[in-house]
Amino acid sequence: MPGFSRRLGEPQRWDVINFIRALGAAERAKTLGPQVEPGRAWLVAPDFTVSVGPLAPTALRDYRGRRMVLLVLYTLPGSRARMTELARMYDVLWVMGVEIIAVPTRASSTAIAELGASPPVLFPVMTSGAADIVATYQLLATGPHAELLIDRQGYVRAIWDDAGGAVQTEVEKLNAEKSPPPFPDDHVH
Amino acid sequence: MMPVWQVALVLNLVFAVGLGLGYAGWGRRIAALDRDVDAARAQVERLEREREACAAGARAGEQQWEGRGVVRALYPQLLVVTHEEIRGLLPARTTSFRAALLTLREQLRVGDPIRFTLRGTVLDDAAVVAVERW
Repeated sequence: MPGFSRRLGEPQRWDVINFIRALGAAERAKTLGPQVEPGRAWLVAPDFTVSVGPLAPTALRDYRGRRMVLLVLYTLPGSRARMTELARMYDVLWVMGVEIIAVPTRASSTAIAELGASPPVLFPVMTSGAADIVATYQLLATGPHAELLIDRQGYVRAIWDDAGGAVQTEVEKLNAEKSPPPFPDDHVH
Repeated sequence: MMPVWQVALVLNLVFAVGLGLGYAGWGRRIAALDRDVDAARAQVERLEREREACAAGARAGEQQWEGRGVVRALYPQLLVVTHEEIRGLLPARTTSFRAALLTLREQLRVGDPIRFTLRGTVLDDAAVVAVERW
């Protein structure tokens, strides 16, 4: 973008490029639905830092090659029933190769406590940095509660704009994929 | 008489093979030394944990580990914690530990960041013996 070199610094130019890329991806993401289409992986899940309390942060991309991720953007109290359901099915999803990462749409340092003690919520719940994640992922999935299924290669494969997703069925489809897509090249030109 | 170029070639080959064999042998010795150093370090750390446990009144053979994490669930005799690596015991993950302190449920809430002390001989019999806010 040489035309902007006098008005914007290099980091700002990259911000503009990334924003335009995100808008384009968001537009295409409208074609992604609640069902996994085998062999069709194209939307790379934007990376973010996973922060749980004061523990050393990890990154979404750290799960690549190891586990699928069910990214849950939730809003209490509306999402409480679904979060309870996810807490109960976490062990089953874990065995199927899925990690759940929960992100409150209203950022809160007490997010874990707010979900309550029973049933115990044992998956990572973001206690900081949630606002940026929500802002990014709500380009792909609107609504106070949304769930995105990210495959082991790091692609978003299914999106639910509500709390009624048949996650296990779609996870089985991903587990049955005979030739998973290649790992995405994150290099931007 | 061998021509000079053949002599040079043979000498170079001899040097190359000698260097290769020497390098391979040396590499193996370095790897073995690394393993020995790691084993000695683990032994020293274990003795240090046993000394700490002994100083705190533990039985012979018991070790003491320090951990940091976030409380995820509380049961009468069980504490579930998402923790950082506990050196010499566990990698970073979510683990349920036996609670030696029966007052933990009154002291702690789900979501609390804590520092905790484990005591035992192995993971299976390790129990939380002390907890403080992180």
